[in-house]
Amino acid sequence: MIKCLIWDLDNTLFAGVYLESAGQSPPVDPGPAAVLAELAGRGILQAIASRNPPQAASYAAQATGHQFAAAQCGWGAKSDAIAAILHDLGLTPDEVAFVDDDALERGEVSFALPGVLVLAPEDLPEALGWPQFSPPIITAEGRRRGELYIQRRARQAEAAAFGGSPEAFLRYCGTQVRIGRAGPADVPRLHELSVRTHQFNSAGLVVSEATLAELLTAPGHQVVTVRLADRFGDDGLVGGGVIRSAESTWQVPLLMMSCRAMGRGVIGPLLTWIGLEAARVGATEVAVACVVNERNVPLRIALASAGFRASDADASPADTSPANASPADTSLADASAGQPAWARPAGRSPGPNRTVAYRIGLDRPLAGLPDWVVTDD
Amino acid sequence: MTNQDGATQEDAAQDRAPQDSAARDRAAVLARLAAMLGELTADEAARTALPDTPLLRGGIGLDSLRATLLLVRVREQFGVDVADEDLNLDSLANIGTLATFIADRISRR
Repeated sequence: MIKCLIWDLDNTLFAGVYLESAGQSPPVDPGPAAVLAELAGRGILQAIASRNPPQAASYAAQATGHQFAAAQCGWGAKSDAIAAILHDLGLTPDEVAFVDDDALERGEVSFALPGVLVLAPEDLPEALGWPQFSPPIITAEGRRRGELYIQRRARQAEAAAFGGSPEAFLRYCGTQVRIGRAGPADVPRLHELSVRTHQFNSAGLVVSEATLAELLTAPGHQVVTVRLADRFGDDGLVGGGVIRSAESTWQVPLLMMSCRAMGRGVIGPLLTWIGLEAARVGATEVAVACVVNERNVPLRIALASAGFRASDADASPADTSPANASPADTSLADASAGQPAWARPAGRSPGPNRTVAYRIGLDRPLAGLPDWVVTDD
Repeated sequence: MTNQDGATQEDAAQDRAPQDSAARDRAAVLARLAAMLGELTADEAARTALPDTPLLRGGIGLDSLRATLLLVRVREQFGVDVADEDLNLDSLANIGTLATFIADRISRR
């Protein structure tokens, strides 16, 4: 799924060249402008990477009536401009597309950032129909996405100038993380999170609205939501999870968080909260089933920082037999067998996408929740 | 091969012959990691950072995107899939631990 479309300006979004139009800026090309408006309405961010002075980006915003989520203007390589936008927005190369009329620029970007979907302007009308540009559902959070990234930039600018610790900055921003139980109204956004999150997604698969709705009332299950707001704006529902809390080990088959909430005091406190809730009712352990891939490294770093460790306790007999255990990886195990059917993709085999249980024992005292977290009950 | 920072006490505890080759491999890995970190952070200081410099917060300061890109480059250049093989990602503690992990995996081939 493409989360951001990055525009070249000259002869791409503009019908002409900004610096060559003496005294008068070139008009916006109506075809590409219509594509921009349509994709923005689908919740896809729009950004600018242009060989122009910064005024060209301001002119583009004014002429299209669209507030761009990020803009990089200058004379360096386009791939560097795109890398800076990825950094600004917290996205990975395979989550963005880049459109430029110049074949050399497209080639340079394809070579330096192979994950980026590179398009020529003439591809745009057809791209509107591609699944990568067609989010199945558009939630309130989705429609406000561009605005949220603009708030994010204001926050980052203040963070850069702030002298204190990251925690002090969260308090300075008036951060509020609200953890609660999901209701039927939360189902579309939770489904959307399962589609859109990768860096912080334990299961790495899409969970349908029907499944989520069933889980809301399933015995022994809890579906949790995490909302985030601070004085820069209200991010709405940024994370969630499914917990099977019937046994002494609380199983977490799904944990997900928007990358927008990264570094904002959400994922660590959410893991702490699950541990505290489990301990409160006498559970002895929490186990998060996590698919092992390159994209969710950030979630796995967060799990390790919170004290969770990958374990082989969920090894099914086939996985621990000497024939299958490689000498280097005897501790590796596929925990997908312990996953409920909805969280277990059909046909998945141990290997590149195996699932591993990250566990924490609750026999030791747990850290408390930070003061920016509130809970519904 | 001349990076003396590569040899640490842990290497010295090993047998002499493996130590020489392991230390040499690790030093070579460290040199290439330093170049990758310099490119990823666009910060020259990253090229000369000591092996005990943390990769994430408080050290090189890689954010999650750059940490992921680093692991992609490590997989491409060394053929070692850290994201897959180091489940707890302990090797991301600092530059030296990552170099040790990579050199160790290379030596097992």
